[in-house]
Amino acid sequence: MATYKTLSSKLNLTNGLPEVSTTMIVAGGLEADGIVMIPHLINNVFEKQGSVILLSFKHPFNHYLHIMRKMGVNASRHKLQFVNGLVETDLSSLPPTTRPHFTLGADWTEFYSWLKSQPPSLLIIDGLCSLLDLGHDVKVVMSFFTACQQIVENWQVRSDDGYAGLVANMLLDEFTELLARSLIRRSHYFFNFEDLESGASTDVSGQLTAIPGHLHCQIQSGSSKFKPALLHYKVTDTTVQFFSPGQSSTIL
Amino acid sequence: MSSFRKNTSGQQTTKPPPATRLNPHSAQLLVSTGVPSLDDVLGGGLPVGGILLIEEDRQTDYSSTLLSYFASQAIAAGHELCIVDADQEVKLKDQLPGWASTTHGMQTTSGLNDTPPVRNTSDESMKIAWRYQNLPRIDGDGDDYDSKKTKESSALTGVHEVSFCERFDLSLRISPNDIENATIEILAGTNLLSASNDNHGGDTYECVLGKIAQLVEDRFSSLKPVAPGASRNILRIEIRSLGSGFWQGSDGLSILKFLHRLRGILRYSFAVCVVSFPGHLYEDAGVRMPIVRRIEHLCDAVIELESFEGTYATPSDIVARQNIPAAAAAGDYHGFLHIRKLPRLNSLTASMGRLSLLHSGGGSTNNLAFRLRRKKFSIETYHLPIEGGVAERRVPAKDESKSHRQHAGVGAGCGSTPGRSDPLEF
Repeated sequence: MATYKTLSSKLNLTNGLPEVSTTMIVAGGLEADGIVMIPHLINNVFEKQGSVILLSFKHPFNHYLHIMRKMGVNASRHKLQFVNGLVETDLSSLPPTTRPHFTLGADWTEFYSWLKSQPPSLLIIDGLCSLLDLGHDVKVVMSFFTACQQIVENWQVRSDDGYAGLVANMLLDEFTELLARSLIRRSHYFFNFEDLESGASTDVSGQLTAIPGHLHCQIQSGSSKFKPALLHYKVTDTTVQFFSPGQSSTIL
Repeated sequence: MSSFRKNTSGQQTTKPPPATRLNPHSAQLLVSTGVPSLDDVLGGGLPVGGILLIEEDRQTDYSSTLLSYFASQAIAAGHELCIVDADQEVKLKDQLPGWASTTHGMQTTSGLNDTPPVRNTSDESMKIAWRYQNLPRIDGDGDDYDSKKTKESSALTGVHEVSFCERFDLSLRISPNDIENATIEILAGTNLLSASNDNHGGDTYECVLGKIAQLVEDRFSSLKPVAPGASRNILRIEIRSLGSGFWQGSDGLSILKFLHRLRGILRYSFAVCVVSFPGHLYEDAGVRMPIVRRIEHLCDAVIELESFEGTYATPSDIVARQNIPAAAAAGDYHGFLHIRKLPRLNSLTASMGRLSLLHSGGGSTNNLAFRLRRKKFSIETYHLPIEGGVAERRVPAKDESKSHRQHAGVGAGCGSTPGRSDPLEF
């Protein structure tokens, strides 16, 4: 199962998830993509009997299903809804297993309405910076992000089961730096995946820096035991191994 | 043996498109780029629905060679081809290499030699080192798994099947008949300019995207079921020098919109795209603009060709380099191949680490070089030349060493009988 136990214990996150109604920004690079966090988060929400809404501007639903299947996550047994942000064409002819539940069109208010009608979920936005590629201004992207954040914060999780939160995955470079800084100001946690500073290695795929975001101080004191950390990781098809620098199992 | 048989009579069996192979790790359909070593670097081939970005070399034109391989492979495999070139007119007869073997997909019946080329057995016994004996070969003789499989099935059925990757010869040119028989769509030069001016207000990106979308919608969409009895085919799209001065867009971000929408179209299609990009045009005081990184993000695989000639600032530096013996000895290679990004469709990891022979053979992703020989283009692991050159260290020939020994006089050897061949002499 795609549960990265070392990551959860290092960051001191209960059940591998941050607090309810918090926002997490995941940034990655060209070869170190933050998409490796997505199966982990989805699986942890499933274990809490929660539901997930995955909005992707980068890949079709099939891509994520393949990855999760390899990691032992059976999405068909749980409530995973996919929102297509990649193309605006009609995808109703796809098989039911890979058919998106909603397509994000030019009018985002329809998406907001649809999102409000959903039960409390973990909303994952993969490839948020693609909105910049499509010609939108940073302000427009921030307004979209803020609208989603407000909807997530308004979801009421009434019991221990279930989860509500927002995760935005993006690629960080010079072009998206301004957007990334703006997002960090509006987030509780920031996870940055990047290549190794010491150079390429066959045993280490990259390094993760996990730090609190600007809104982390607003979390009630005592409820958050989050510890910032710098970890190395190794990606395989079936899992992602996180470890302290120099503690790779291959080396030891 | 169990008598149980799975009943598959009611299920529709779809034959895969010709000259494709399935990646076992990602269940992704692959096509060949035409260069076996590049296929190897990419993890077996180019995934269908993906975009390969080739960052062009400066002052040289090796990237065009890769594109010509891609186009020739499309014709050899019977795939449909769409070429987009805003810079100049496309002359396929002068640009595309022919293939070395006569048995290929388009010519399956007319006067072909059924006997597969036999590898010389004397070459088998010539080995430099025993440890290289069991290493698999990337290219050269076409003795890989797919070629054997194709030959076996051809022998059984009597019908020649299309091989995954044809063997091309750069000293040959493609025959006009092959070009006429192929389905090729060309958007280039003045035609592209007039089409974009007439229908899209001069926006070249919109014009090309509309054409590609129409092609995919007509015959290559994976959203439409295939007709009974018909088989799928692959559309290969070749875009040359995307973003050069001849490409006109509505604003500076047109190229990003174009690539994003192109990716969306390709993801739900049986099409594959190779784009060459003049990255050196997007530099400011020697530093690449941030938009280049965005362009790389929007493609599924990114490689860069860095020719040795292009690393020197002025032509006089190139001439000066030719006069340096050590540099001339290193001239076996023509440049470096940098891998910026590997395809990761349907997977978190790239297939290169498991499937690549260049990778498993001791190479890595950052020490690859390419060389252009008379007949072929290949990617190899880069090795530094011997210090001082090869000529001084070369072992003299047998006759030369004998005459040298005779000139040296009696008693030069350590044998018991001077002047006679002795098994103990060394």
